[in-house]
Amino acid sequence: MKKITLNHITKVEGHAEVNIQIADGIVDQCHVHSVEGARHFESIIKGRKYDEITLITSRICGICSCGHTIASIQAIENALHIESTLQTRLLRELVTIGERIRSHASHIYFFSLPDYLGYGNAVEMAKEYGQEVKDCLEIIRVGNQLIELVGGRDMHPFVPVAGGFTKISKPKDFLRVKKELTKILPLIEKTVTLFAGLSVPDYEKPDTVFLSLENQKTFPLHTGKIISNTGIEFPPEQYEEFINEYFEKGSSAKFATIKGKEFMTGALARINNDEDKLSPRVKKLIQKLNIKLPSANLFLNNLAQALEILHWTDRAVSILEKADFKPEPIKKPDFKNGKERRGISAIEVPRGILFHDYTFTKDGILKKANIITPTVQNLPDMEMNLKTYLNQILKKEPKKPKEELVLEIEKMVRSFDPCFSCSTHFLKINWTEK
Amino acid sequence: MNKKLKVGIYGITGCMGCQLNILYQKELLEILDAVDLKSFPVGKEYNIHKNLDIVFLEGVVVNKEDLEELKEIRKNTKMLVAIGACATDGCVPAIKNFIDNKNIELSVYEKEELKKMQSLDPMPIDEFVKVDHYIYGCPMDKTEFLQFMKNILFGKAFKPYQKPICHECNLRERGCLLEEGVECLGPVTFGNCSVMCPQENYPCVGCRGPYDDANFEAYFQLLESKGIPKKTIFAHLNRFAGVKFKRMMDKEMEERETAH
Repeated sequence: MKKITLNHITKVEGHAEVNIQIADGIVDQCHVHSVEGARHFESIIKGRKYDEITLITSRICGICSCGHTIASIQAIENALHIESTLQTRLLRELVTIGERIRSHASHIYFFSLPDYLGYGNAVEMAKEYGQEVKDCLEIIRVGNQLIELVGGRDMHPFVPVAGGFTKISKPKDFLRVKKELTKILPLIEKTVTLFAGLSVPDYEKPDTVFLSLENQKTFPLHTGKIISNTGIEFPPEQYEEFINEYFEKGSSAKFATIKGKEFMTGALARINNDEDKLSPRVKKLIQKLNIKLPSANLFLNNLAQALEILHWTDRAVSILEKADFKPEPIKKPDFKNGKERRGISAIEVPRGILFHDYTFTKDGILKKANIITPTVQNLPDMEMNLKTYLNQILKKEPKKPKEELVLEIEKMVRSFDPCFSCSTHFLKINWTEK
Repeated sequence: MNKKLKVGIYGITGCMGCQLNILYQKELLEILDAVDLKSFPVGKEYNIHKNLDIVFLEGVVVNKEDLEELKEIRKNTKMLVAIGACATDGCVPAIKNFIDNKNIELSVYEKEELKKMQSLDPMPIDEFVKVDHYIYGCPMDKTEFLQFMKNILFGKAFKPYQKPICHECNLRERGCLLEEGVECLGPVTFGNCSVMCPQENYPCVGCRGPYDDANFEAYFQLLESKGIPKKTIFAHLNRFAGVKFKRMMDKEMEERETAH
């Protein structure tokens, strides 16, 4: 048995490891493990008061700290029966939209694009594709401005709290950011065109289950039930009946399946399941560029992310056009009824569905928590896809050099945009050949 | 022009937010142009880990792997800069030091898996290696990072900011949250963050760690007069820099005892 270890697949968020076992030219096992140190979030928040929880759970992830913030707030409000105002809900949308713009733009340009254009990193890529890198930085900058405007800071925002916002920015600042967002629309259209033009591998996993949130009116973000392309449908409160979480040896992240089967969540799942609700500008561009949707080619996840940047920028502009945000008092929970209370929230974050589930004592002290991040949900599907894809390649080209296979593996992993902080650093590949 | 500084950017266990904050610097391209970025595994494919001049390190030591990596990084750089609360103060993962460990681990991870992960008590990096400079905050303060880069690039010494949050609140004429009865950690926390949180009506959470000349006794007296129980404040001090706050409090108490 031959064992080869390839260290340091880079350009992913966090620390992970891939173990691949090849016997008689066929990949028979493939495991993706998070080797990120365990931080025990669900335990360290126990015993804390309801208004301290979000501050801590936001730190699960720097990339989607806004997502964790809003999911946490909604779970608290659901548990403690705090009803948010329309203004609060719109402002929360703006916080996660800002993060969606920044996260997708940095991922597709910095981490994925160099793979397709044949560069080791965005800095090298900048020598020939300087304008693209500048476009990306500009999109990120404006996304960050939107978060800062509403959240107080562009990472780990603290202004959104259970019950409302500690401060509302001035109208002139909302206007300034609206103008900035309008200005980047052409850059985002260019981004979509660029990613639609990349030649992605001809690969599909036809039976993929795509899971996303769905509501009657809008492209999903903070509300709705959970649905799939295969007919699964359930409200967030019933997640435990459908989603099983389990441990795998050597991984500090958990894994999740739905009724025993792997599934994909994230930008491609959302667009596959809910294409009609995209903004008119996005729909027009899909038609113009002849983008075929839905698609079971997960390499198109990066293109789906580009489409989402455009959709959410449109949405942010339309919220800001109608906005007349004014300071509102922060709603406080009422602890008079003296009962233990549980609240569950499921929202769409850049990489898929995020669950926060809290139980509080009658006095609002956290008793029990469960948090399921999108990467945990995507890991089993990533394993299955890697296995299927590598075997498809090996069938056609049994002698394909290992270095080229590694590049394909990395491309695929990065298409998923995994975030192993939430659930990986250097991705390490261990090969075992029999 | 002199030879460019050889820079590495690394992360051990953490949320990656501080490394991303480098990527999100408005001056990113200028900074990258001014240095020789030898290593940045989050953002680049080929990395050289040896003979570095400066390493910026994010993250907290939570297991043996983190510790080994930290020691390896220290060995290979002339200057080590801790960026963000995880590296400087232990941040929220270090809350674990203040609660019953057994309860934590058994509720989330299976015993056998845990042994393999060789977890340690979460600690800031200066617990294990020499740290030359600190850039505080959760996430790391972008302005402070930029100040640091400018100083280094122009060959000037970087002096840490030596005043508490309250000093800046006063300068900005932001009224006192403690006066309003809100649990604010401003008097005992390092400033230089433009009092970001109090400015937005959110109390200081102590994410920049303990201010060197903090007077804890006077602080606790003030809290008591406002009806804020000590227990609440201890729980708040534990969140971002618990290990270091505790050490400072213990030191102050010892000094008082010797003085008596």
